[in-house]
Amino acid sequence: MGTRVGEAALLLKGIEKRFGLVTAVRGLDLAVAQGEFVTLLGPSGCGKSTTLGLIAGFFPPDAGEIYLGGRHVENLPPFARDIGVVFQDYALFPHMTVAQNVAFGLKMRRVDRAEINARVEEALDLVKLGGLGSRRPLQLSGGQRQRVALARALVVRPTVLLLDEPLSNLDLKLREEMRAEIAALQRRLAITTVFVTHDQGEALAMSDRIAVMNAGAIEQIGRPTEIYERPATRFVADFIGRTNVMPATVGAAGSTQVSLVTVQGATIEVATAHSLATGARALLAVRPERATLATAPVADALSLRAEVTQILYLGASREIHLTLDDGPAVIVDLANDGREPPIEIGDRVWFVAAPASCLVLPA
Amino acid sequence: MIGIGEGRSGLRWLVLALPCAVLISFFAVPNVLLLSASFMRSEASVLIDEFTLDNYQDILSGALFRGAMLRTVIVGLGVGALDVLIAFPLAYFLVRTQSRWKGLLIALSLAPLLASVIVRTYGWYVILNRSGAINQTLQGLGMIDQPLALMPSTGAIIIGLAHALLPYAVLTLMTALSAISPNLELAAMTLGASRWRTFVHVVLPLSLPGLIGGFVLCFSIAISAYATPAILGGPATQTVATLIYTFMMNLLDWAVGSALAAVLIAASLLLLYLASKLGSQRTAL
Ligand SMILES: Nc1ncnc2c1ncn2[C@@H]1O[C@H](COP(=O)(O)OP(=O)(O)OP(=O)(O)O)[C@@H](O)[C@H]1O
Ligand SMILES: [Mg+2]
Repeated sequence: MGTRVGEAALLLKGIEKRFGLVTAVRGLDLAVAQGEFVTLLGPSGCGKSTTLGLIAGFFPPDAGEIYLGGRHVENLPPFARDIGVVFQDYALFPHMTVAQNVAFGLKMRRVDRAEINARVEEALDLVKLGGLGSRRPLQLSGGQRQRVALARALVVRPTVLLLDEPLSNLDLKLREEMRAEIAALQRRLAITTVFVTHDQGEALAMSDRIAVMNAGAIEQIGRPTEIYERPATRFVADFIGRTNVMPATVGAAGSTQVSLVTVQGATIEVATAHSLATGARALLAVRPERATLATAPVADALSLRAEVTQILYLGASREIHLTLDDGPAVIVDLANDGREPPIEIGDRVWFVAAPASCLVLPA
Repeated sequence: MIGIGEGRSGLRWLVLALPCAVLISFFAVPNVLLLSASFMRSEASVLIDEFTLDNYQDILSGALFRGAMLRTVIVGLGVGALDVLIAFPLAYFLVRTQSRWKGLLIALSLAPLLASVIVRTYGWYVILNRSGAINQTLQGLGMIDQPLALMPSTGAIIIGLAHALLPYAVLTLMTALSAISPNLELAAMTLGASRWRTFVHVVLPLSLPGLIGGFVLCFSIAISAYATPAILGGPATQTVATLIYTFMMNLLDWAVGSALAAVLIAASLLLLYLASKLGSQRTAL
């Protein structure tokens, strides 16, 4: 991740923000490349909106530097920053028509009348609202308002587009539709975008990179596959998707490989980037869809004795809840292949995970 | 369920009947009496049961009444404009502030309502009269030789009333401004609007119903106010309200007094009607 000012369209260096006694953002670093789609993902109150507000200039940071397109901006007001923002509640001007809303940014930039009309029309077509320019925001559906907000932010061709949970007020079907559409639009326009959400599905589907935030700082940043396949911490593993976690001890540590001893004394060789000392405590993590069930232990794989406690039929898969002997409760997702698995509640089975499906996390 | 609904309907009528009775006996009836008195002849302080338009003709052609009417309108406009102008920034601050003293600050700005209008007006009397605080200070500083005639005057009436009615404008504007999401202002700024242009293009148009409401409220209370014009004004600066008092209480001419009152009420109603038309036009956007 380059942090040179010239390279990044947006660069945050050691940003801090306090509200009274609450530290909303603590020492946050982030570099977003030109045309990149970065998502800030994290639980409620972790500082996502505050970070976005700092980029937009709604309040100044207590420490740190912000660069937009190579320009040092943390002392500039929002109207001098050349940004586009889509708010969660859309923040459309209720006293203006759709076209006037979209034209607002151009009018403030004193673009001439003819060009404003042409660009407003173009922007409305872009978000598939052509012909609705004379409506009032209150006469539109939630999805349409969302599109107006997007057109209004995009029409000024900002350096960076900032979106704060723009889909959270839409119903599920519309949300999935809009998320594909926004992602496609962003790629087509190649506009540098920072997207805020607490929905991991949105983050995984839309982003070039995801920054997982926890308590005001970025816990891990990487491509969606990296974040999902190789979470760096238990927090990330738990927050994105679900994970079975069990305690373990490092048996022998190599440079890229460790031998872990986990519950029931089972030992498994796992690849890792963490440097762990022999004897250290660690966590062994397995995604539910990467584990399986067997009637006998499997050689060269983690095999643990368990008892079935619950079976949930979910259509596309079955969720099997187990309790490991001398260990925690775990879940296995079995994909629906058309056959009913021959297991029942109370059965004694083996919980099996191949070494490639096992992850080491710091304790 | 039905039984409960029916059982309650008797109670519901009673609940409605009480305010209706109060309104009819203490508001509708006196107004009808007042209106009918304005069409009667008054001879030697006695109303005579005889239809006439003379009262209206008298007051509308008399310079005394026209002067008072003009002054009343000026007072109303002045108080309305002054209050809305002062209240707007105050209300905006009170609505937007994140201070933990917010509640206290709001209470403080509405506190003048707790003191009687007479007390507040005498406060201004103490400040404005010939040997009042302002004249004494200016004379003490040697800036003037003779005391200024600050009151009685139309200006003094406007200042006194504007002070007394400010909380009404603040309350009306706070209601209007708190309905404007701060995100709208932020959105305008991200789109390149300076603070001033954000105010002109977003805050002002959206708060217009509140501005009109606050103005009309202050205007209509100001034009019917009696105590303040009576204390801070004088015989040469009569308003319609003080004139009504003069006619009814001093001259005991209830007919002309009633006609004056009827004109004042009609003017207020006309204004309220115009304002509500204007308001509904804006909300129908
Ligand atoms: N204006 C403010 N005044 C005081 N505290 C604030 C303010 N804005 C945010 N905070 C606090 O800062 C922390 C981070 O808030 P922020 O709004 O950035 O969270 P978020 O990640 O956007 O959460 P959500 O998903 O709920 O929107 C919270 O503890 C919040 O209470
Ligand atoms: Mg938020």
